[in-house]
Amino acid sequence: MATILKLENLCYGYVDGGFKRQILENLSYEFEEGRFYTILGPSGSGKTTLLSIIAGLDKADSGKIYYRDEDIEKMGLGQYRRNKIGIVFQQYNLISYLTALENVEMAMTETENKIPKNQKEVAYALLEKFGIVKSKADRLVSKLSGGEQQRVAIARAIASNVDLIFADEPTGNLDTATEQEIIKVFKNLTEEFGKTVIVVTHSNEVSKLSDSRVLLNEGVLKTME
Amino acid sequence: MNFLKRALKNITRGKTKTILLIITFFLIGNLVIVGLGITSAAENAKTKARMSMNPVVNVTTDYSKWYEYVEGLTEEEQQEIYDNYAQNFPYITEEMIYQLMEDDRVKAVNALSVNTLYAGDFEAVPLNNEREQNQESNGQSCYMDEFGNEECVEYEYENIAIKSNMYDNMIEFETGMFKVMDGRFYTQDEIDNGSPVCLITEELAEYNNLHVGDTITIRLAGKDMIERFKDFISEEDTRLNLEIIGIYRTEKKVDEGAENFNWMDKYESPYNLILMPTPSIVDSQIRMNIAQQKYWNQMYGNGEEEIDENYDRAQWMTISSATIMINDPLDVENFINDHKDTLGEYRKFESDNTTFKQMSRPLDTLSLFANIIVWIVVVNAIVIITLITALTLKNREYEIGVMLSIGVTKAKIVLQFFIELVIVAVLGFTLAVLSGSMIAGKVGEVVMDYQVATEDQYSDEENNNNGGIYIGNELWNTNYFTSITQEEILEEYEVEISPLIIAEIYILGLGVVFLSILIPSAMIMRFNPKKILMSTN
Repeated sequence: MATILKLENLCYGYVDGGFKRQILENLSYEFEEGRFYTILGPSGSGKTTLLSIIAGLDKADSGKIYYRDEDIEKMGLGQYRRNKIGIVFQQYNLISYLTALENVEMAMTETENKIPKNQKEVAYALLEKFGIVKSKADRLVSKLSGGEQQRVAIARAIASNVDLIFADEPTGNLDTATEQEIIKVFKNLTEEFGKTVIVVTHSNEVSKLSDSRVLLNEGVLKTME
Repeated sequence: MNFLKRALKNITRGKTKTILLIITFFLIGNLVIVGLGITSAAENAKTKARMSMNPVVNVTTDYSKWYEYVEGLTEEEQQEIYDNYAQNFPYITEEMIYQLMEDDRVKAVNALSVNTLYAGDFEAVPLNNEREQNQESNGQSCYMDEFGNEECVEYEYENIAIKSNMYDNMIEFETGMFKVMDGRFYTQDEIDNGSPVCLITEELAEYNNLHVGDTITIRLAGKDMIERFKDFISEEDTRLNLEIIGIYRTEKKVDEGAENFNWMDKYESPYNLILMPTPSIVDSQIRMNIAQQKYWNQMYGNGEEEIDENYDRAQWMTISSATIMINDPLDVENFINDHKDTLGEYRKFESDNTTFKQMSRPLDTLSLFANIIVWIVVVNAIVIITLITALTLKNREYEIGVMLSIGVTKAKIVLQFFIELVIVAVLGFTLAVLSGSMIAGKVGEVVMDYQVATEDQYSDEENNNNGGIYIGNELWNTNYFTSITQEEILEEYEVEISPLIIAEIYILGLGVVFLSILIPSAMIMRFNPKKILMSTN
């Protein structure tokens, strides 16, 4: 399978109380297209930091990230975020004064990817696919439950017609039942939509369903058997 | 869902914040409108009042400065001046007036000579006052001769007035006081050639059945003088034949209720005023003057004094003052400033600008304070809106982080916030426009009433200054300045929120918003999505 994201010698560290703390140390890894990855690791291992860097929210101290062989720094991190990836956060990170539909539409408007002209209908359909019916789609996101908000966040992540979805502890704020539903949604993203999903999680439930489990430990990523 | 739509959604869905911001802009807008409205009303009132005044400037010898200069000289130097007084005195010269006339703003020049003379082959229009009813057409002058005997000489009263000008237009025709009803005014060629032409009033024409093309004769001497001077000047030389080239209407009327009406001479009637070029009468005046000198020399001198018959004609045409009318009352001050250096040291311009400035002082003070208020408000508004926006940004960091994470550019985020502020500002200012005109009107009235009361209390003496205008016999000293009172100027004060002010408010408002967004924009530019999201998550 083709590589969608290639990490090459990534290093990242910070100074804390006068001591340099190295989070990523010459980290290299290749993520293949159409697979569901979970990144696991002990607390403080740098999972979220790694996600921030590979999602283009932050820069590594050194090393390269290639999206389909294209250096994301050269592409521009803004453009990378806008056109190549979608991100789902633990706190959903939706715009509170917009409805579910408008949150999804925003991603569609901002991207330079090809989006169908009937944007609104597509957004409604997408939301419905993730269990948000029209009546709920027109509500302000603050009026939706946590699970519903996370579905909206996932819909927004793929609305811009991207192939790579990142998620940071997407079920961390959800009850067990809802967690199961959301895991299914992510699984579905690879199976039905052919997306590559990379999820940072603590959850065994999530990791069990992934195609590849990757462990981040002492600044290095290793595929778990 | 582009940034414009997001801005609108944010405004409509964050009602409390939006209303608070609208109120802030509304209050700022009201203060700005009050300031701008008052300033504009004050300026308009001044402009209207100034426009109602004649745009005239007197060019005159600065007598006080001249005499001060002469007094400062040594006796010998003074004697030198007096010996050639005509050459040394700072008259207004023809060249100076012609130089001023080259200015495109000049509409008319009155460099007038006024003479009271005698109707020759026509009759002056009667006044029908007591004096005429008593048939007093001659006066009597008595004196004691060298032997102590009383000698009385009868003399004829002058009955017509001549106003002669050295230029081909008169202010009266520009102000509408005079209007040519038939024929025309004299040309510059006729002035330069000294052509014997004149304009008479409708009343004088009608009274004598005179028409354009007719010739009238005026006498430079009364019958008694002709008799006395007959050895020195022929009767023919005391006469001047003038062709009527125009008949004009005068708005001036005989004031029969005037205190001195019953003692007025016919020449004081506006109907007996004849207009003609100055050079056309000068030669006759010179001849008459020489004859007079010879007569007095023979009568009271030893008869041997030599009379210089070679008068300098140009000297007879020097003037001590001229009045210039320009085309725009608002340009009087500029006109003076542009030309004051060309007059030299002992000549000056006089205008009613000083009076006008004094009269409009309450408006100036009002305008000044209003302007200060506007600028204080604008500066404060920038600070307040900047702080509000910066504080709002703190609350919207999360939103900014989310937008950045999905790839919205920082420029679009700034633009969204700017548009949000603009919309709110427009709403606030629109409400302010509605209420501001009323508030501005009331505030203006209150402040101005106070101003006027204060001015009246402290400045009565100053206001008595009429701008150096000499009030004397109107025939010789026509006052072309428009008398205007402070009340008249202040009556023009009316606060009106014109489209221009409204546009000004919106432009100013946009400026405030633009400046207010600068600092918050700089803050946004420094935002890092990871930091924001990490801290909020």
